[in-house]
Amino acid sequence: MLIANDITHKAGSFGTREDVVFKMASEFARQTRVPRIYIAANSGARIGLAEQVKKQFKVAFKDPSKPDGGFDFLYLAKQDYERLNRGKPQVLGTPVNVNGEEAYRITDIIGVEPDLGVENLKGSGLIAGETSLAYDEIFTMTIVLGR
Amino acid sequence: MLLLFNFSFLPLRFPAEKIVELIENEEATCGDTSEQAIFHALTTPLRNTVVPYTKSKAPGVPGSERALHSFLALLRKWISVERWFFDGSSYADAVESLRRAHKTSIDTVLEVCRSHEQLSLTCGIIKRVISAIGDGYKVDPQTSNASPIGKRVSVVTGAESLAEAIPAISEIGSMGSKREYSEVALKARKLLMQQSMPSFEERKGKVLDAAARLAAAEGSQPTKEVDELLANQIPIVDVFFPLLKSVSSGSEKVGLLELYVRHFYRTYSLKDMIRSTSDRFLKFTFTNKQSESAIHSSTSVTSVSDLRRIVSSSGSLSNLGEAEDSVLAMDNKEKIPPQTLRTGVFAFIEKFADLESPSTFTNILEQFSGSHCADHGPVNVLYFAVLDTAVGKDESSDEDISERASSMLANWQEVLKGADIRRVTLLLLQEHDDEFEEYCAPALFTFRFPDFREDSIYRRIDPSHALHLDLNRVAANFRVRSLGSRHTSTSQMHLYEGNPRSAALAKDKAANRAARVFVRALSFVLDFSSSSFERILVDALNALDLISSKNSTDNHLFINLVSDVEKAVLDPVVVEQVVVEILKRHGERVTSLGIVEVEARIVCCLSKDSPPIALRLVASNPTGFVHVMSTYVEAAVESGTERIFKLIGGTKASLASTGDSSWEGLNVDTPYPLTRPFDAQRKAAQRSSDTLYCYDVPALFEAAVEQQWVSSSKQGGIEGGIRAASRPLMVMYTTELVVRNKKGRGSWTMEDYLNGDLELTQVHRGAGANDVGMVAWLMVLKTVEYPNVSSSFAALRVDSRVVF
Repeated sequence: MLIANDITHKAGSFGTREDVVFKMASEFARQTRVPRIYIAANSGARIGLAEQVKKQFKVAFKDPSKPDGGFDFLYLAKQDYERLNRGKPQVLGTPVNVNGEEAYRITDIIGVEPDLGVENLKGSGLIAGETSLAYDEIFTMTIVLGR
Repeated sequence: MLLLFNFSFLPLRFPAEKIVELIENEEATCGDTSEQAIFHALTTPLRNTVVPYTKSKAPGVPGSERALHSFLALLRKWISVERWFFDGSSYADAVESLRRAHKTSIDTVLEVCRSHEQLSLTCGIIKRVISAIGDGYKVDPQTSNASPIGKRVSVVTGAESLAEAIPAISEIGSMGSKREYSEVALKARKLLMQQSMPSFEERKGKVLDAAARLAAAEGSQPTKEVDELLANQIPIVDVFFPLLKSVSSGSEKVGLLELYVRHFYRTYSLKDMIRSTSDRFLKFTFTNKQSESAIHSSTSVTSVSDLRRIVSSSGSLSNLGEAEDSVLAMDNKEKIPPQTLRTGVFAFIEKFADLESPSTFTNILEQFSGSHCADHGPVNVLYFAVLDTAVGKDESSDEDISERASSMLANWQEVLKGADIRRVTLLLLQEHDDEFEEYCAPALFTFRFPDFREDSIYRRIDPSHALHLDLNRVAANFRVRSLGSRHTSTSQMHLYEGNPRSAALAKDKAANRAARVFVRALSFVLDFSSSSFERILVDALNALDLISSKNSTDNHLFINLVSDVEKAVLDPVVVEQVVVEILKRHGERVTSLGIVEVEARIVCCLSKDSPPIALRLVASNPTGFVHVMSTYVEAAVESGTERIFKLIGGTKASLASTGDSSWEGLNVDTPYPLTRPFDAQRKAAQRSSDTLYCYDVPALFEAAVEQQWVSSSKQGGIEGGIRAASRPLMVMYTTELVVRNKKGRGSWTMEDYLNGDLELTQVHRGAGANDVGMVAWLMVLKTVEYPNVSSSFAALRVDSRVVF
């Protein structure tokens, strides 16, 4: 059994689908008792971006004329906030007033795409467990390539 | 030092013969034997010094041995200096390692550096030394006459140990990696190449003899000697023109024309030959041979036995019935059926201007009467060898000739069309200035129906061969410039420099913009075997080695083996094995010449009575460690006459999942891309993490296991013998494991997994078909320790869908 990361697919990061392939292949190796070789060349768990939110968010700079002076918070204009949350909520926020306009300060981003954040770590837990099982049951070898 | 070059013209020669004579006379006058012995012993050092100045096999060039010795000393001294610098390391590094090697003798370091400082000057000297040695080889030792291009009698002519120069010269030949050395290295390689070729004089004699026999022979059957010359594929094009000019009798001239036709039209069935010495032409008739068939593209070819079955049941085959020119003539798609009798006339004319005179044409065109058949357009061919005009080596003189000829032919358009003529070809003497080649192939211009204008891409290629070179695939994305051609006994190589076209660059912005070299080799070798394929490959690599414009990457080699299809019975598995084995053997050289892809096309039959098919093998070395290959068969698409690449299952590459199968499903005329498929992924993997593209990994495992077999077989003793005998043909079988949704929906997520809706399936699919960033393979490796994989496991392999 040879398992390898495709470094050209989403920069070689682990999302939940990658975790499933790894898990099922490794399980198969354990069931058929064949050696399992894993060639690791990856960039760790995926950190996704909620594209919808990314397009809309705005920044409350401390001093809008000097962006390098830092910012207070990220926010969404009221109509954007409402549009994003029309169906399944994509973003949570608290109402604020920015330059006299109603807005929402972003506290949580949920997004609509799968594999945005913490579920990837859950998947990582899945394959860590699987690797641990395989280590006990069959011959395993992990070769780390790349940087 | 430079005086050596004018050795024979020195006003005062060292009177070596005189000294030897005096010593011998004195020795003869000695009274008793003991005195004679003492004298002999005393004069030995003097004699040893003097004798090299007298020795020579060639009269008139005394002392050539001594000259050669000093040349050799020069070459060796030069190599010993430059070997510190030639390999591409920086000057500072080179000096550093030089100092480390000569800790105690800093003078040597200084001397070496000072000598290297004069590199451009010393390169000039070395080049002249190599030329002088080269000229030395070219002289007939009996007569001391320089051959036509040995413009001078070299001072080393007749030196007994002339062959001893070869090792030093081949060392210089391998030093060309840095620009400063490329010229001198090229010169050395050319000399080596000249030495490895059958001599010009010898070939000239054979060709002349064959031409005379043809001229004397009655009827259209060539004699045994001629057949032999043709079967040995002795290159004739470079001697053709000089001989045509030098022989005086018209019948011998016509004999030469016949030899040319027989040499080039071996892919056709030649019927009659009618020689007309008085009118100075040869008329020949020929038909196209049965062309290769193509399987239907929808037929599945999962194994070689499948392929065999498909080919033998004619229903799934479509005979393409086409031949020459179908690719060439864009506006003239008609095909010539195999049985059509075609007529050709090959005439020689004294003057270029004769093309304008009606007398040239009327007589010749009469020969075509009665062969008119309108169904499939013109079928006849016409050749003229023009004796008085030579073509300069620059492009403008090519254009000039082309223009002049096509304007002359324009007057004859209607007459030519009336005679059913498909193409008119002119042969002219080609000027050149390469000192190591006696002559080069004639300049060839072909003017095609209907307007009889020239397509410059097919210049210098005999039109009967043009089709086999697949040049349109090169020309679509590249502006092509000819780098000349080489003819050897194995094949005819045409080299081109391709510059990416701007339209193609616009589509592929990240592509390498540099020019690259395309080598198109055409071979008529009758027996396909490892040794014959190796010779073809080596000849092609040599041809690439001998061009001066060097491109270090993205070069391409195409080898088309147009064997006598009726006779070549081959198994694709064997073909693949041979090609990969030979490529492996020359892998380093292939890589160092910057060849990124080798494509071989082989027309063969799978069994004695099955129709011929065309295989295409595409090999590359994406990782830099191992050559991988995909094997395709040409398949016909349902609608029309196009052919596509179709992967053959069951071959080594497909069972081991090592090839990238990137041509699968593409038309066989698909242009070469600026960037090869997966190169983007390979570059991305290299850039982002200094690693390999994952689909290139299985090939490395296969190579590692094969390497293990090789090294354990080499151990010797009983064990090594057993290993060598039990080494399996294939050491790796691979299937890709793909996660699928049991319910058949295309996409799946973690949720489906948690619901237990997913299954792992074993599939054969092309590289890069994944939509998940994790790839898994099940590999069966036949290692030295476990050559027989357990049967339960093998059963598992056969079941292509493992569900659990």
